[in-house]
Amino acid sequence: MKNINGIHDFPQWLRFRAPSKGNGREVELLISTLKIDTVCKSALCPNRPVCWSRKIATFLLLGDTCTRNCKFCAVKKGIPLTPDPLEKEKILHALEILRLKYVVLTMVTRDDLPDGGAFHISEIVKHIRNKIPEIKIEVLVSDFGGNEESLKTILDSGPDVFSHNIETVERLCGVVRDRRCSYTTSLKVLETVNKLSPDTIIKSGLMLGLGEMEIEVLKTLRDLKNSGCKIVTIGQYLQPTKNNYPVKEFIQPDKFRFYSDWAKEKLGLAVIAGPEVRSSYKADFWYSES
Amino acid sequence: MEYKVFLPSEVVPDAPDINIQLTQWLCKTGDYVVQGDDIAEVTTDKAVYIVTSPVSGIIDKILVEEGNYLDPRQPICVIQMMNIDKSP
Repeated sequence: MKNINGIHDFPQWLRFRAPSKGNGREVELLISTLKIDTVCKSALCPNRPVCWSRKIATFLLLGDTCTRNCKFCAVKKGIPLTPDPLEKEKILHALEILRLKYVVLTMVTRDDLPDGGAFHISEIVKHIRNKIPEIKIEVLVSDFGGNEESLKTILDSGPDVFSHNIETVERLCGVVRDRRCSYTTSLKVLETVNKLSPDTIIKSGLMLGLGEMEIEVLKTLRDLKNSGCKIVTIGQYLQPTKNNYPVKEFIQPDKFRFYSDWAKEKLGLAVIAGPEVRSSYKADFWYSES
Repeated sequence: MEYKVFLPSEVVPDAPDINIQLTQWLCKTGDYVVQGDDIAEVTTDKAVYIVTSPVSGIIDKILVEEGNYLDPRQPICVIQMMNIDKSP
């Protein structure tokens, strides 16, 4: 699947736009001046040029270093720093400048913190809510080891959407995710959130092209539905660096449409599916649609 | 006026040892382009990007040959800026 230069031969349908004119430099300057992290940059997201040109960014909270070692992910791994007590002010400042009406706040997994970082996240959500009451907030969080107290802390801060990614089908979880992650724990997280806060919109995401079979994808969609999920994103997995898990297959656009139609028809799920789709891709649009 | 076109910084991966290759030119020297037109295709380890023109004008010089790797600090082409209306 690679050409003679060692670079992938990407299929023709997989092209990302890179507008030369837009607000990209402004966003870059803002995040570097405020010293805040975005998953757009840390995860080498291919939608970054388009999103940033429209002044949309997804903020990465609790530092740029993750305590887990998922093979698909480009975020730095290691021992993280102490959470930045000024992070809530910095994020608020960025939101005021970008004038976002919908924000996705995501995080690195912090197994080193007793609550997994839940209190820190909740303080940021509350601070934003207090200062910009009209903004919609989506939290895209780790599994917190399934800890119900941590999940309750997050929910008590009042996010509009709670998102936690299942990432892949059950058989491949142990292969591409960190050994401390599990399919069962992720489903349990979604179920717990649904139990604790039935009115919160629950969202999850999975990547295709890791070697999964159709029947496994359908089962995953059904499991997500049964766990209380309302919105699911499905996108093509792309290997971020040579050190990450290789792409096993480039999924045809038709196949994404099949999964999307099937999940809508059989399960009543709102599904955002396509090769270019990422967890927070057009999150504001899909929130309003759902 | 000359306008040097650089790769949008958001395309440049913030990671070491990542290659960026100019895989295809979608325009040639002498072509008229309007701001927003597709001008080149670049490929990183992770994805393929379509780079659009930041200005309207005539492609004056192509500075990177197809298949070559890019230094993101160097321009990829030069456009002689002018007002062009492509609408009929």
